[in-house]
Amino acid sequence: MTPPRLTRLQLPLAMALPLLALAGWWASTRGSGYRLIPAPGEVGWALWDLGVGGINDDAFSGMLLTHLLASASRVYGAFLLAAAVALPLGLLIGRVWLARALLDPVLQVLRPVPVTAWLPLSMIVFGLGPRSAFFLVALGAFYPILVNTVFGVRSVEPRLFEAAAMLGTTPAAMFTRVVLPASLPGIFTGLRLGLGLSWVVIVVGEMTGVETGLGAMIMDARQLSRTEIVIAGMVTIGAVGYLSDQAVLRLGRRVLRWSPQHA
Amino acid sequence: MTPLPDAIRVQAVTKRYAGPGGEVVALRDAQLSVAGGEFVCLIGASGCGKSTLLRIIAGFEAASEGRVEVRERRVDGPGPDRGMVFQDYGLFPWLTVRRNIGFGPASRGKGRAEVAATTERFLQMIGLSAFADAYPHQLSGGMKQRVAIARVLANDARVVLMDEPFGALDAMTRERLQDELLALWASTGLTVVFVTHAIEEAIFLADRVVVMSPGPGQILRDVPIPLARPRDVSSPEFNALRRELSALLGSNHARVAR
Ligand SMILES: Nc1ncnc2c1ncn2[C@@H]1O[C@H](COP(=O)(O)OP(=O)(O)OP(=O)(O)O)[C@@H](O)[C@H]1O
Ligand SMILES: [Mg+2]
Repeated sequence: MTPPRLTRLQLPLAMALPLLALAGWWASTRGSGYRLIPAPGEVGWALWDLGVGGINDDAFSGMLLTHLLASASRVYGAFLLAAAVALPLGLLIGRVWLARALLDPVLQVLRPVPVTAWLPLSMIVFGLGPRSAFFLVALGAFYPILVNTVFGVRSVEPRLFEAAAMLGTTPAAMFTRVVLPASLPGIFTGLRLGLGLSWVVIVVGEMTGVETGLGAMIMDARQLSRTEIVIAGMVTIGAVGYLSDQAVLRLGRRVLRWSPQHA
Repeated sequence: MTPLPDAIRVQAVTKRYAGPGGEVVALRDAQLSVAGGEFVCLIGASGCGKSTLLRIIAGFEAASEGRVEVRERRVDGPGPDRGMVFQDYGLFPWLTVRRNIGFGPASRGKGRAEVAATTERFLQMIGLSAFADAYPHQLSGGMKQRVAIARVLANDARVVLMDEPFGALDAMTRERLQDELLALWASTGLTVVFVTHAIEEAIFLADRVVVMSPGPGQILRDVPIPLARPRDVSSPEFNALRRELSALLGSNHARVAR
């Protein structure tokens, strides 16, 4: 919690390190001659050209929105798919002994396998291209959602079941009246982590055999040694990932108003 | 006065738990009858089985031996005829005060209008109308416990089981709530079984104080409190009872009555 007195300082403090890093970057890339890393100004122009074109007029100009939309549609599509599978599965594993005994060991063994390790297999199964990227993102988002949902369900206070039972809640109604609302904070944490990870994985997924998408754009730029475009792509991903997370966070604050940890 | 049928009848109830070092007898051969409308306090040292007995009456635990009847029906699980008030409140954190109070009636399929009317009535009764839309984490301990009591009453519970409900509250709030509880009890004809550690609280509230002793938990003595209400905690009669109960609690290892 931020002490109210200090809220005015939050923004300047948050900006301090990035501005410092920017200054350092700028200072170290000053002057002429050959450099491995482009200057901040070049990245700024690259971003402008990517966004609206009119500077270089090459294959990258004005393409940012196209790439961004391609990536975003994969991210949200795959995330929704992951959530659609992981949420019911998590509720089931958390609540039903048989489901837990059957599924939990398998999922626990598969969990440490990093998403990137699935890349070759997924290219064999789904072919080289967007479908493979979609699968990887869905897989990446799946585990955080599943694990946190199970955790949310498992950590419902037993007292609340007793309270509901003595007030006349039937065992069948327990799920909607107690389990679901009580595990919402856990579910929400899972969704937030899952979406964040989706933005991480999408870039890896788009790096091979995909035409459009921020990952493809970065990969193309790398091959052409257009490092300023690589960095512009990184900046874009950071920004949209952040905005996307803020949106989820805001939604969470609304839905979880009742929770002292979220209000 | 016409003799009312017993609201609660506990017959030869024994409860054993499997503990790490073998079996624990939490309760041995407990007998207890509580008349309809009676206010009974259970008192005894820590670990003597007070909560266990209450939880068996509530239906949260099954007795290992013996049987429990509430209003002439055998207890085989929790039910809305027996409301429970927990020391840690057990309010639903995601529901407002209003919805917590309406939880029971809504659970049991009462219509919207009826739930709203009942809720309103009990909100007023506990004096929390201004906090109707607050969430539990925004309330003080005393307010939470008022909501927990209202939630049980709003559900038409005729028997209210309370496990150290005021144990976590400061002395002033505790006294306020004791008075409020007695007023509610007097106006509604509830049957109350109230567990407490505090001798004074038991004498102040109860028609009868049931003293329990540990190792294994059993009922030691049943002490009627014949004082008129409101009770004066500094009266000689009150003090005499206080001394009697202290002696019982202090020396129960030496002479477990049989
Ligand atoms: N779920 C359980 N499993 C094993 N042993 C238990 C369980 N619940 C209670 N016991 C044991 O039963 C005995 C009685 O416990 P109980 O909680 O009824 O005591 P109490 O009189 O309510 O004590 P306190 O005043 O501290 O609340 C204790 O020895 C306790 O260790
Ligand atoms: Mg207890």
